[in-house]
Amino acid sequence: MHRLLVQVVARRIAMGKEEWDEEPVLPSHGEAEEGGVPKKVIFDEVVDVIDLPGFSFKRSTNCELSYHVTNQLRAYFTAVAKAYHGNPMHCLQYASAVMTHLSKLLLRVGVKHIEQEENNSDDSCNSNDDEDDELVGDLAPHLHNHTFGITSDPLTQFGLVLAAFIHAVDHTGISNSDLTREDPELSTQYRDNSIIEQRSFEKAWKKLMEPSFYDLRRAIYSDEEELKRFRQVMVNSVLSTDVDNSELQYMRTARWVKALNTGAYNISKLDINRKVECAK
Amino acid sequence: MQVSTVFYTMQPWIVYEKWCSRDFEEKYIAFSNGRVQEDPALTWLDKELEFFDNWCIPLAMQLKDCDAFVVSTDEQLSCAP
Repeated sequence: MHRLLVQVVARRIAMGKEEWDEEPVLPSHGEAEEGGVPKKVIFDEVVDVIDLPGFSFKRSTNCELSYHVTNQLRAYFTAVAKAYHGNPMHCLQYASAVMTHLSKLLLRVGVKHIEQEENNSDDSCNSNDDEDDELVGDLAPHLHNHTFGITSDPLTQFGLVLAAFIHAVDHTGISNSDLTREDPELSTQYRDNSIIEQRSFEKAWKKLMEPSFYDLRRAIYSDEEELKRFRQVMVNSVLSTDVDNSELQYMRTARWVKALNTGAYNISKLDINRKVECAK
Repeated sequence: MQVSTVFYTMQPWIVYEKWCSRDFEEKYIAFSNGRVQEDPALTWLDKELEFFDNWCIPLAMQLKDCDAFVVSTDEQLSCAP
């Protein structure tokens, strides 16, 4: 996480952006309607498309995080770690494993099939810095397009990895459907959808917004646009871990087919589930 | 993200065994405490097979299809079944 946060800050410096003096805020959520049912829940924030920044190649400058940011990052992770229960499966060890897996996956993102001419030009490259810059500059747009901008946006990667760590905070060891039976009040609070995921996100976000993490937030996002993107990536990622919600899953699979033009191997099954649910 | 949450199903047997046992234990504790009505011991194998057929293998195949990862996807797909 430290490495990714350094990249977020370095990218911001390279783009000439400055840290905020007045903290950007988002419209508040969870205002209660009559009967205790919230007007808007985190589930409503899931979107089909997240706008990522366009491509612009700028070599990031070397930078270090301040003592306060590093300390607050450590304190935040300690606080989230403490919020995990001692379940055999959904525990801190599992969250760490998921986060590690996602970090490794992101490190393995690459372009396998680069056009022949570019390969030829790679062979003739020497290893001095200017030519390295050219090489990275040549590959960067391919990676950017190939991954829909994820590789060139450290903030998105940071959001993804953080979401992996917090996705099961306060998990009590039972599924959403069992939790609905056990605690109908809690279920109503989240409108009977992805209760565990919404609660995990809400707790982790609330923690991050505490005054004691002021410097950490300042390092993560520099304006409202970045804050929105960071939250959106986290909301979409955390809610994607609810595999039992066939409606959301159907949307995601359809989007996959649209974006990548490849087969969605479980879409027929999802389609059946969806029809069965609609029929109920 | 979805692949990462089921990482243990796409890795060598020893990893799968560890997390699958933990998953079962968690569900069995919930059943023993009366929080869940269904005994996981009665349906475990069928549910795991269904989980692999309808979730893990399709996910690993999609990951391979998207062609964004170097090296790892073949390994994950071969471990998933």
